[in-house]
Amino acid sequence: MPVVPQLQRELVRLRRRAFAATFVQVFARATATGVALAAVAVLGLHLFDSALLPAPSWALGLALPLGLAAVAAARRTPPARAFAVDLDRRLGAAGLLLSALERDPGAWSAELEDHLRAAAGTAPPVGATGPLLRAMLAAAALAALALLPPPEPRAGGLATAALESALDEVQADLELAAEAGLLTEGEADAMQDRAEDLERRLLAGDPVAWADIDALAERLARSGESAAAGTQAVAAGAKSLAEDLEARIAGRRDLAELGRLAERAAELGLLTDLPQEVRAALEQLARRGGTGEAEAAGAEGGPGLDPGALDAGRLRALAEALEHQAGRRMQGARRAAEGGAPGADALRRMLEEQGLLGPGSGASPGEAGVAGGPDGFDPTPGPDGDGGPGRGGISRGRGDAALEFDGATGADLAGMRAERLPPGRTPPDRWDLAGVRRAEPESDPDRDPAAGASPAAAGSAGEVTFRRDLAPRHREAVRRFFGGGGR
Amino acid sequence: MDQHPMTETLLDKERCARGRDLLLRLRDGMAEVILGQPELVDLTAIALAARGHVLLEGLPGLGKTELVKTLARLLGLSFRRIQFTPDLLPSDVTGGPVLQEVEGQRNFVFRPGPLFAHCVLADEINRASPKTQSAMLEAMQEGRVTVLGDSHPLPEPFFVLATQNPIELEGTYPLPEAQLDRFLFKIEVPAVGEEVLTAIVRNRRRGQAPAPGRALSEDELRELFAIVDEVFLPEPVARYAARLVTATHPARPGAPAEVRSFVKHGASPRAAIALCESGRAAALLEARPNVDFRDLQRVARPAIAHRIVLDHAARLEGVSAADVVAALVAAVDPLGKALPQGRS
Repeated sequence: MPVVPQLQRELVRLRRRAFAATFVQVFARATATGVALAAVAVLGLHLFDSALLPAPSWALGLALPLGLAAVAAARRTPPARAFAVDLDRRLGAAGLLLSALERDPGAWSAELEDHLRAAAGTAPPVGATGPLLRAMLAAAALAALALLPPPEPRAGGLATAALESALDEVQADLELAAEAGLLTEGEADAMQDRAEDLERRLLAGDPVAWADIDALAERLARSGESAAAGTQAVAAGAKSLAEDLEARIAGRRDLAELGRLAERAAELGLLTDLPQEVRAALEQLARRGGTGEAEAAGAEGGPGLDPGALDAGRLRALAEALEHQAGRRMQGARRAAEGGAPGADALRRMLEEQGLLGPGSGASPGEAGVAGGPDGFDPTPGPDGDGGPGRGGISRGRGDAALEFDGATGADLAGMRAERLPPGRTPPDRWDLAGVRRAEPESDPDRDPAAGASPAAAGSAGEVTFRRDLAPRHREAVRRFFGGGGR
Repeated sequence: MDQHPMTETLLDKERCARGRDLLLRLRDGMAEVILGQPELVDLTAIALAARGHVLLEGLPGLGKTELVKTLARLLGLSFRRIQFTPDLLPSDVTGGPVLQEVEGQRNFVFRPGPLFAHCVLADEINRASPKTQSAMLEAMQEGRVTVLGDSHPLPEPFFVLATQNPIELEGTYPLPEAQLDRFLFKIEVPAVGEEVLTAIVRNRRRGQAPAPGRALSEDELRELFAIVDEVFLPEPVARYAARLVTATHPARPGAPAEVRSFVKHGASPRAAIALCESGRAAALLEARPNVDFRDLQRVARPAIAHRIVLDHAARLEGVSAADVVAALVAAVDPLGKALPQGRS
């Protein structure tokens, strides 16, 4: 057999083995990666109460690693001739195989044949076992994951979590509104019962519609608006009543008006702190106030009504109590609006729309939005030219506050005294001349490192310094000095 | 796989053995005189077979001059010795015109200098001024001397074997890079051991080395040169030589860390030529018809080390050019690019 074709066949065989090795490695790696990603996906679905059941179509996923491995092996495997160097070195042919590819080996054919015979047993293994085993292990792990029993479906799933979250928000708003006194006790209890019922149904897995929670939230909003408006009216009415009550009780007892106010106050739960007999009389008035019977009943001294309980002192106390209650309600509403609890922004907007809060969160309803405050604040544009009243600041006060610099300090300077600091470098005009040398200062750090540039240490310091070993920490400095850009 | 037309044949075995025999005669002749320096003798024989000039560097008394004189005797070629000194002038080396009266007429006649010999020993070459050193550039590269516009060819073959010692550097002129580049090899002559010294003092009275007879005739030397030229250089080996030399340049991507850290300027293309030519002779010394990677690795140090310029960092770290070449040989893979291998 001619030796050169035999050599070329051997090289082609080597190339095929290299191709196979690359193919197997890339295929195994791609398969393992794909399987790992699939395993993560399966686990993730299990965590979210879903399942991915194995199907025959999963086998199509092998097409991708197969294609990748084929492309990578074709691109990475060099031509057969490139394997000649490897083969030559492995066989110890000392370049004879390489030469035979370019020149006729002639008399060296026998040696070449010997080498080629030895080549048959020394071809490197493809090494498919390890990578394929790893890929199969990964696939087995994926199969085990895929065969996990599917989780029991929870009612609603993600939708339930969203409903729970929405219901929590409504409940928080409800508590906030109740604390602020924006709801009557009955309203608050009814809405709380409804919310708890919805919560029970959610926990039990019973279907809960978004419309139920929306309806509860809408009812809460309406009650809040109504309560806020009522609070404003009661506060205004109570204030007015408190101002005129002295005159009213001296003359005709305006029981009809008092009855209407009492009815409104009862609706809003303002009567709870009043004395028992006053509250009973007002509740009686309230029951009649809406029907126009109060005045007649008062004139006639109707059944159950004790006009004597509403003398001037009691009515004054009633006025004060109403005013106090109205003030508490307004403060509660303001606190709720300023708090960071869920729904605070909505409540704040609602109160602002009804004029109960001014544009600034800290402003009281009486001051809010009023141009020109009690201290004469002038909101005209400041000198910044931005149309605002100036920037002010923590050290300047408000924007229109005058800023004066008079250079004076309030510190007491009498207790201070001058002190001389410790001596530092001597000024140049006070230097002393120690001596003059005609030669450059030289040093021999090997002989006397402490002497530095002293004359006693002068010698062939340049050469010594150059030849001595530099400490590692100094080498970088020397490099930078000589190397320009440094390296 | 592409097929190459096999029009040429590798060096046949008989011719290969003949070349090795000639080379061994030369080597063994030197080894009889220079005791205990086998690597020095081998490299000198290789350089001679590759028709290159050699720079020998070593301490005084190690046999540098004796080696060159022995070589001249073995080859039976004309031999001149030039002792380089600071006041040596170029014309003292190359020769120059002298006024001569012939038949009543006075003419300038060129009188050849000591450079006109087959084998020239330039002893302590670094003691001459750069001007005189550079007078040898043309002789070493072109094989001729030009004086007053007239070129005078040097005898063929022409070898310069120069010596220098690495100490007593005061008053010396280090060879310029261009001059160093002309030497095929720079061989460092090491000190000998106790056994060798014992053999020297027992066998040689007053250190007198035996005078060897002629080992090769002029025809045999030419035959040796012809055989060396026929040693085949495969393409992958040539590429390896090119990669080795390219990697001596710190800015090149394939340069190893030692080159990037310590080399200022890399080797010239003459380094690759020197590697391959001396690689042929090294292959012939082992009776092979082709150059192998190992041949290049064997001659890499004497062929490349003197062609790279180290920077100050190398001196600070105590790294020599030989260390850099060793790192280079270790870092540059003959395969060039790793082949895909199976992993189990």
